[in-house]
Parts: sequence; structure tokens; C-alpha cells
Amino acid sequence: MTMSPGLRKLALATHLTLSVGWIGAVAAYVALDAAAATSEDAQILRAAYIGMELIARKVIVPLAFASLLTGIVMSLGTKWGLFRHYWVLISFLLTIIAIGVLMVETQTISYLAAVAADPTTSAADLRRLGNTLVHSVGAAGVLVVILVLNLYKPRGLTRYGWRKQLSTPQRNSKTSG
Amino acid sequence: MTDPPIAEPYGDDNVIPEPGSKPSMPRWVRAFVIIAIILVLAAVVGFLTGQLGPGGDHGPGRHTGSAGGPALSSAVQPDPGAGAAEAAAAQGWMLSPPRQ
Repeated sequence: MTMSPGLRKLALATHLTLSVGWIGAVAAYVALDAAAATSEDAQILRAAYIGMELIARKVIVPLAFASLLTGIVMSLGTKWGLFRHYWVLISFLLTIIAIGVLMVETQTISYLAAVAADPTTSAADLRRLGNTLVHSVGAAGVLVVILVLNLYKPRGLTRYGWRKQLSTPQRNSKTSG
Repeated sequence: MTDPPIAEPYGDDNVIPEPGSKPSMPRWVRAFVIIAIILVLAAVVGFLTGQLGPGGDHGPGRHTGSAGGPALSSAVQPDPGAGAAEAAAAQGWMLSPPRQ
């Protein structure tokens, strides 16, 4: 099932917008996370934790799922397939892992935000809350890896892709000149 | 406009495998897998040594308010000028301290 060229362009534009938006949202989150990790100011800490939760829940999570969904649509609607090429398969697996970690981490972020939003939380406790920098910076790295894989599309058929290619007639055999 | 051609799909060497033979895994995939294994092992070591576990610096159970509990001491002193509710919350460290 291959999409028409016009539909493929639309799907690609949508997928790129959502995926790059996901990376941008994570970058904004990392900035707040870094502030939470380094600041001693109670007001900055409160604002950072609350902002982290807003970005995570309202922006990153929706973008992550939308990016996964459009990515699956793109792969299944084009000749690339979801399991035929290593770069598609690895991108898919990394996205699943990133979303899994994100969903677990969101609970931590919600807890941090709830504590920070509580007016009875002291400045000393705010400073002890910690941060999620390991996960957020790691997530940014994983997303960049996925982006690079999608841009370069390194060669390599999976065994499944190889079998599928053997079972379909070759139309793109090269001619000299 | 058509889909971009999927050129040279047979791996790094672009050698078309013999019929019946399986394609080899590209070098970049092998390197990727090795790096992934190293990272997973590092994470496992981190969990085992307590750095990444529920009682460590970070991890899923770090701030869930459950058994792992927040990394906040029960002897936290309230800010100067804090009211009775703040003092009670600071002493017991309640997630939802009673509000007046």
C-alpha cells in the first residue's frame, strides 16, 4: 500500500513538523531542567519544575505519540516499510524506548511539580528535589540519533526486507550510461 | 513525483547476495548494536551500584512519594517566617499537607 505522491508529501511534512517540534520541546525542557539543577533561587526552582511539567505533559508527550504515529504511517505508506531497512527499524525501536522512558519520567516530573507548586514547600526542600537532566539530555541525544538516521538513511536491508525484495519483481535495475 | 529510489540496498559493500544466501548486517548496524549493549550494561551497573536505582540519584521510583520517597529529609527546617502549616508540612514531609 503506497501513498500517492501528494499524500506522501503531506504526510512527510506533518511527520517532520511533529518530530522536529518534539526535539525543540525537549530542548526547552532541558533548559528548565538545567535551571532546576543549578539554581539556588526558590522562585526560579518553583517556576522551573512547574514549567517542566507543563512542557512534558502538554507538549512533549503529545508530540512524541503524534510523531510515532505519523512515522508508522510514513513507513507503511511508502516503499521503505517498517521492518525492511535497518535505519527505519532502529528509528522505530528508539522512538518506542524514548516514549517508554518519557511516560515513566512524566510521573517523576509531575511529582516534582506538585511539590514545587505547594506553597508550604520550603526553599531548602526545593533545592533538594533534584532534576531529570540525565533523562532529558539522554532523550535529546536519542532524538538527534533518530533524526540523523532519517536524514542519511544508511543502507542495509533486514532479512525480512531482503526476502520481500526477492519476492517482488525488480524494477529499478540500473542500466549503464 | 515518485518515491525516491531505494538505491544500493544490499549493505555497505553493495554486493547483491547470492540467491538463497542471507544478507550480512551492515557495519554501521553492528557498531550501533555494540554501543547500545555498552549503554545498557552501564545502566545495569548503575542500577546495581545504586546510582540509578530507586534510592540513587535518579530513577523511576525516586520521586514517586512511595516507598522510595523523596530525597528530602524529615528534619527540614521551614523558612524563616513560615507558618504553622509550613512547619508541620516540613516536619512530616507530606505530599498534600493539610490546608487551613
